[in-house]
Amino acid sequence: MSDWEASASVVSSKGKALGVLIVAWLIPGAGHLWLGRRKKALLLGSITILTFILGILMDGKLYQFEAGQSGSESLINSLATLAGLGSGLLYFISLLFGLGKGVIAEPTFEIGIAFLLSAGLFNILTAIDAYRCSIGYDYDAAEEARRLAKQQKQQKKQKKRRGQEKSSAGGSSK
Amino acid sequence: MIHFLCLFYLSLAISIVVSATGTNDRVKIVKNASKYFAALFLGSIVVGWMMFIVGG
Repeated sequence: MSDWEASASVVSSKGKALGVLIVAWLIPGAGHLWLGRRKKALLLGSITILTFILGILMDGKLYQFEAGQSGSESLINSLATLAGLGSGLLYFISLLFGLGKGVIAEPTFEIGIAFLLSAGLFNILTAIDAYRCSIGYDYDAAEEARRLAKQQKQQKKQKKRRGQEKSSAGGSSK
Repeated sequence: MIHFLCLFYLSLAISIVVSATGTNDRVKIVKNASKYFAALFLGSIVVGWMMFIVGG
């Protein structure tokens, strides 16, 4: 199928592709903007930023690495921190301004956390997509290859089954 | 009410992001997003309602 955006481009080196990945992580949507995918940048960037702002407004908590926690507590805390770090600069700026402390008494506290973590995970997905676009990854070709591989696997299975049926029929007729 | 709105927004956001990161084709993005959104939103309402019933 045809590409959504005619202005889209790819980068010439692996180093630049890595740069796209880092920029896409730091600023939501910036990676796609670099590659000339303006519509995708606007769509994904605005969703990530809006989700993050809603999370902050709902008094959600931005997790940070903490020492002196029990095993499971520290595991959950670390995973939540990694998800939060996915938001890039938004995470650091919020912490810098003392936002995202979390108010447990608020009824929207838990939903706020869900929004903040989702925003981080969205941005990680977006950054990976920007990297793939930057190296010229062809989604349609990959899908076609997957479909062909699946078809071949099914054909092999059918052949094997037929062979088994033949051999069992031959054995019973003897 | 706020829970319902949040559920709506998050389902919509998840479906758009997930479908938009898997392809560069607009038709596919819209098609997949609507499919994911219907599944996520209705699925979470049904699961939430069942939990509400089970929880009493």
